[in-house]
Amino acid sequence: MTTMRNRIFPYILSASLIFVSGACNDLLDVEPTHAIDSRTALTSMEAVEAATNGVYARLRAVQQYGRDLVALPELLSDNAVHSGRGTTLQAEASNSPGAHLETWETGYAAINEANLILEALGPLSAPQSFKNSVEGQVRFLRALFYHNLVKVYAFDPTANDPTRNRGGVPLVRKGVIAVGDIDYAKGRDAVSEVYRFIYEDLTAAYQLLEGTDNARAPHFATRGAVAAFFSRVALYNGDYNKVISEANLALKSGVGQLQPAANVVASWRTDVHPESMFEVAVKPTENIGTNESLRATFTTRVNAEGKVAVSYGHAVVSDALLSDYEAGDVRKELIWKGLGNNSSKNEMTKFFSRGGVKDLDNIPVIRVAELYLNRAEAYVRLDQARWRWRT
Amino acid sequence: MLFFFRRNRTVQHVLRCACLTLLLAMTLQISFSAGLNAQGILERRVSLSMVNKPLKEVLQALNQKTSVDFVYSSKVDVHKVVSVQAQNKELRQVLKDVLTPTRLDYEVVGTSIVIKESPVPTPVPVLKKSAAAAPSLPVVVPVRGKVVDDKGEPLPGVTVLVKGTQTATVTDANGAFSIEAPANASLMVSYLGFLTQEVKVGSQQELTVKLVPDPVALGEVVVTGYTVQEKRVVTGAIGQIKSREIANMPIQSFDQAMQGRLAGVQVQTASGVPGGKVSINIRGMGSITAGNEPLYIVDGVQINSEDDAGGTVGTNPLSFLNPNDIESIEVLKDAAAASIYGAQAANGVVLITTKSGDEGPTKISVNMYRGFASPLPLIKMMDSQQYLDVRMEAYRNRYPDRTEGAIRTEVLQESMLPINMTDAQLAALPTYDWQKAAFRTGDIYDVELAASGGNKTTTYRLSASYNSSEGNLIGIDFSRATAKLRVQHKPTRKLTISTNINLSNIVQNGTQQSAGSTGFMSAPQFSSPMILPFIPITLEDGSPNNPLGGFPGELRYNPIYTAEVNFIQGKTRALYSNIILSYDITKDLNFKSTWGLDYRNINAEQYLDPRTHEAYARRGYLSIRNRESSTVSGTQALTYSKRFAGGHRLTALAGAEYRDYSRQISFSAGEGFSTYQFRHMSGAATILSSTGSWTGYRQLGFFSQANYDYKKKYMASAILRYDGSSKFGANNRFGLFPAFSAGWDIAAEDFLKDVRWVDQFKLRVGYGETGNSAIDHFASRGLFTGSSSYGGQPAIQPSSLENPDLRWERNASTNLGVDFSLFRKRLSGSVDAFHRRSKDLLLEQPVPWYGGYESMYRNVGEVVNRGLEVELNGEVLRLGGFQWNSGFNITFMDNEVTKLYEGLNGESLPGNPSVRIGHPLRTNFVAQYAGVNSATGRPMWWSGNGTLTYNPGAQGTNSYTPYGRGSQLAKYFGGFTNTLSFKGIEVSALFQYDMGREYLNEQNRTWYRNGQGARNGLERIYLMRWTEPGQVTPVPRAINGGAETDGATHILSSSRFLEDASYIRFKQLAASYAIPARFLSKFKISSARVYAQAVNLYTWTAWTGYDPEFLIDDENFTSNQGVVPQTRSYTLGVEFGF
Repeated sequence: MTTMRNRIFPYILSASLIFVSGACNDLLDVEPTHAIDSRTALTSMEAVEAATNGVYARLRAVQQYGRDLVALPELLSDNAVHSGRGTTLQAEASNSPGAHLETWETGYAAINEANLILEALGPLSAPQSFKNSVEGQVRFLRALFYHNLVKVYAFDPTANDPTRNRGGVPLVRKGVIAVGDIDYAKGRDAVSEVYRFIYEDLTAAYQLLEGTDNARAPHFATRGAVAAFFSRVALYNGDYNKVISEANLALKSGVGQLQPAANVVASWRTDVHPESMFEVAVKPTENIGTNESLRATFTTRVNAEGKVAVSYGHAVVSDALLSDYEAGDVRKELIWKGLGNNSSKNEMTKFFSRGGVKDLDNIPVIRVAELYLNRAEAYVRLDQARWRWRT
Repeated sequence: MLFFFRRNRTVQHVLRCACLTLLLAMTLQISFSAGLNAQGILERRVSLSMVNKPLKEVLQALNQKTSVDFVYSSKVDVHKVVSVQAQNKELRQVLKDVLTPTRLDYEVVGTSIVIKESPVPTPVPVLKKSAAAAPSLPVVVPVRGKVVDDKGEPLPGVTVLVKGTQTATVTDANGAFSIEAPANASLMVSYLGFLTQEVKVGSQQELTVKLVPDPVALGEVVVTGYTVQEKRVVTGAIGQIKSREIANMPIQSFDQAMQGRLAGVQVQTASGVPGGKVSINIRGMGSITAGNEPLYIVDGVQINSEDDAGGTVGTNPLSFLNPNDIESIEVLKDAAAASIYGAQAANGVVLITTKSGDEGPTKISVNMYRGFASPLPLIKMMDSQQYLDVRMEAYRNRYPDRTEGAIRTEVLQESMLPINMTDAQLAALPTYDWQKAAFRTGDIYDVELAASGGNKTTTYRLSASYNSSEGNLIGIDFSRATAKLRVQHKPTRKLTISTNINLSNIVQNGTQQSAGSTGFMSAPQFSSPMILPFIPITLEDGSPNNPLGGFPGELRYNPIYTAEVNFIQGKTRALYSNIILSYDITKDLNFKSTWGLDYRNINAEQYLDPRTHEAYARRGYLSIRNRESSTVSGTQALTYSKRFAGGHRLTALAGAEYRDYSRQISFSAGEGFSTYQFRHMSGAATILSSTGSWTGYRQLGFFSQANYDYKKKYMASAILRYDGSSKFGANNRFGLFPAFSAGWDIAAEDFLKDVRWVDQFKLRVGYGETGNSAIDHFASRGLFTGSSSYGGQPAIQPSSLENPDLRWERNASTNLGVDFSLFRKRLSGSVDAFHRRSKDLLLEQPVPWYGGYESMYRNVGEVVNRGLEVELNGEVLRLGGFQWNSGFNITFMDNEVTKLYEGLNGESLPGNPSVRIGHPLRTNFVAQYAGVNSATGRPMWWSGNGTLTYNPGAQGTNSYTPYGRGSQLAKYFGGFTNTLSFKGIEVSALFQYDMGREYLNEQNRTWYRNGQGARNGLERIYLMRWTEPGQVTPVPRAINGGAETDGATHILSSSRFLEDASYIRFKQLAASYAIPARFLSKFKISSARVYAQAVNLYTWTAWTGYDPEFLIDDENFTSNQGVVPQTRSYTLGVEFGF
């Protein structure tokens, strides 16, 4: 018995070893369940839709509308000064070298996602209406991210210094999945080229979003959002006739309602600003948190009822700006004295935990009011030109 | 059978024959040199009068009067009636008077007296009953002799047994023995490590027995991975720690105990949090991004050493095991030893073997210790007057135009003090020591129970323990309960089944961020020294000072109150188990199948109480993180071991191993609790986040190893491992890891055989390759993750760049070493020189962001570690019963980055100038502080050779940094241990040192602020500050905000904060006393020991913070700021055996 077992044993063993080694590669296959492979990720409508939401979600980044695009310009300019408490944003307030808007990383991450989605739409089996909607939204978002890049990293077309102009930003049109996909030789494209590309995207987006219900506004792209944003882009580009035409399209879109002066404060106390043409939505689980929230950046109060200072309130209204308001200006009612260390400082209370949860605020990207301003500015610029021509 | 007899009570303990031998050996060892003492016993004078009493009672009385223990075997009839009349007589005479009539005799053994049968008519029966009935009794003769080894040196402690009887003795210090034996009998002479010899007594009465070393007997063995090997023939570099050395240290995980004990093994404790992070570095840092921690194997199963509580509390994945359950720790240091573990062994391998039971009656042991942990010395901060003075001075210097009154008002206002305070009132302001309130003396206790034993087929060991250790900071503690069972069963001659199950439950409480470095205001370890000193800790009514508007100044929270009411807890439940089947297919061939499971569940909860200022606005915050990980592994190995004629021995091993690791984390957080009594998620008004993730990997390896030796003179070993891992790119799944080593024991050569003072002189040489695969499990994959959402809708985003070429880091190491043992093992040690080239290091290389990704990993870097290790162990002195043993080890290390990726400007990593070609890893390149302009008190920095600046600008790769380029890595480190023993007393002292480390004292960057903001700082800096022109001092003038106009802030990260963090530490003092058995029998106790331990008694260092020992791991520990400092602890314990 023993001898037989001894004779058989090595065979069983070697057989099992062969079996094991034959199956080696399978044994080492581990598929993540928290993620999906980039090569096959965007092959269903659900995934494409989720990826589109992913591009929207990039707008929430601190370096984008989460904080910087809203708060930093106030500090970099003299609308706001630093309260002196804490070190956050001190460098921006004092215009230290290198302290500025940084839309590069998050912007290009979003642009790559947009490119991957656009490439995935072709082979995707889905109704054309779905494809149009996704393409329209994604191209709108891509234009928005590109504009926030070219604004920060290049000269505006209307404020160009040709001796220092080093071009716009690199226009990346192809999605990147693997290391080998990156074009290392890519340089900056001309500012005009970047604007041409943004125009192209916005023109296409407006057409593609034809069937989109206004009910998706203001947190998702609609024709109204596209036209409104287009009027801003055209204004930066000095393309004033376009500003007027796009502003008119936007005003007719039915998205966003201009509020009377009496409602100015109330509009900044509601969850969704009634004037918003496009707004970044923030839900409780997407809350950016105390340290970097717009609420904490601008005020020490948690909300209108807050009695105790809960944050530093770094960016407070400068005395110069405050004195520019005329007496009785309703907008002045949004400026409150702070609490604690800021009790002698003037704080802007537009971001006031309006979402009902501490630090939770939807962030307007473009409002109806801006359309009127854009259009008015365009009229002035065109008139000035006309006036100069007449004389 | 033998009886043991003690004072006061006639409790008799039944011991096995083997135990007696052991006992005799032990007592004899003590008495070797205590000969005088032994003689002294018989000279003791005694007065006693007893008539017709049993011998037992007489001996008992003698025991009481003389304190001499009497030992006798069961064949001695102690019920015989005897009489004694003694008046101040010598014990010698008394014994003679009492014993002679009963035909009994005695012998002095150590401090005891053995009563035995008189030589003349001695029967040598096995059983007492037959003794009486023995028909004819052989003649017994006294035999004297001497036992020597093969070199003629006397061997003490050798057991000499009369064959077929239980008459035994043990040789003395000169190898001599005397025993009574029947003339026709044989003596069995045996000693560990030597062949047992049988000697006929015959007519000779003076014997010389020469014992021959047993070539088969495994002398000391070491675990080398999948097998064990005799230490004498090991050719790789392996370090070993025995349980004895680390027993009962008041520590929570065994890694701490390894500190200072092994050459080449650097152990750094990250903080003073009990059961917190400890880092082990074997032969230097060989990786930049993929981790430097060794592989841990417990009883043949790889354990999860990456588990943590997500930064909630400081955990240690190795604390699941009670250090007192460990039998030995082996460290495979060079690749020649470690490459059997292939792609995971680049940082060395730590092998843990736990205790198991021995055949024999059940042994029960109880062990307890208790003590306290106290903080290391606290740092002197400014008092209230000094602080207010320097704060006003800082304002004055900043705003020279302001009036004194305005400045005073400003400072008093910001300090929330009445602005009309007079000078006298200011001078009377009290100072509250917040630091002292935060640090405390913690309680430590530990209880352990173990039972072990078994028979020929089954042995077991069962142990349970409970440890509770409070930290030196309020709110921090650790408690652990463990239960462990190890069973081995041999159902047939060929088959052995064994299992090992370890269960542990660990509960740790912490303060905010106690898991690492912190700048949190609610973390007492960070904020308490800096709270404005005039703020009271408690209010007049004794309640905590906790204003909801916060304190004045930058540190607004009361961290003491916060630590008391917050609930920050990590609970670890660990299940470790293995099952091993071992089958001897033939005499030489064995098949072993090992299956292991390591399961962990770490539940971390953080409740920030809504009553604290920190969480008041959000009305409380709760986060719950649950981490569940498991490793399942299976190893199948065939081992062929054969001894061939002529002294050749071969062990060959082949096998396969598979490991599957998976981990799941779920996390949720909520805020808005009605009141502080609501402490569960159900009470949260808002769920802030609720997420989960999964990760895993698998690996498969095939290994083979062959060890050969010829008469333990020439040895060779070869290893080949083929390893694959799911972590790596599709183009590089598998890799091959070879190793070769050889050894030559010159002492075994004929020409040295007669040189008596050389026992061993073994040269070793080895080369091997190993891999490091401790990288993110999906690093090679391009993935979309679903961890985001937008407007409540699910969102996915690409998270990583696909990288199919990614592979393990490869280490090639060469080792040259010598093991020696001289002067009859009185001096032994080893010297090793090594060269470890770590190549293909994974570096995160930036890619143009316009591709949408930040960076990718590439196998491009290279680091070389060179070093020399010396380990010496010696018996310094042996005098009488006194013995002094010393152990010393030192490791010299040299680390150098030799390659990074191409196209780097200035040859350092972007954003990390400390990784630079030609320099050690972690070299400090910081702005160069040039001191204070004595005319103005402004801080200055060097901007170039001979040029000074007030504003050195941002530091980059090409910045001017000629000074202070020290490295955080130690240049040399080691330990020095001394053990003194005398009879049952043993005292040992361990000194540990880590030298040549330079760290940036980040803590001082906040402590040096000197009134620049509203926070307290160091008194030393206050006293040294610049105050008047012409004053030469390194401390600039106080300035509000920290930066002078057009200047950089004085607390800029610069060479001003670089400090020598070298230290020598009186790490451990341990004293123990084995209570002599004679005091114990009445309690039915077979052994007892009392012991005391002190850890971190004293530190010699130039470092100015709390403590120079901390760690930077680039995860939780980024600097020494806010790190809970080390603990000094004292414990007292007892250990009983039954």
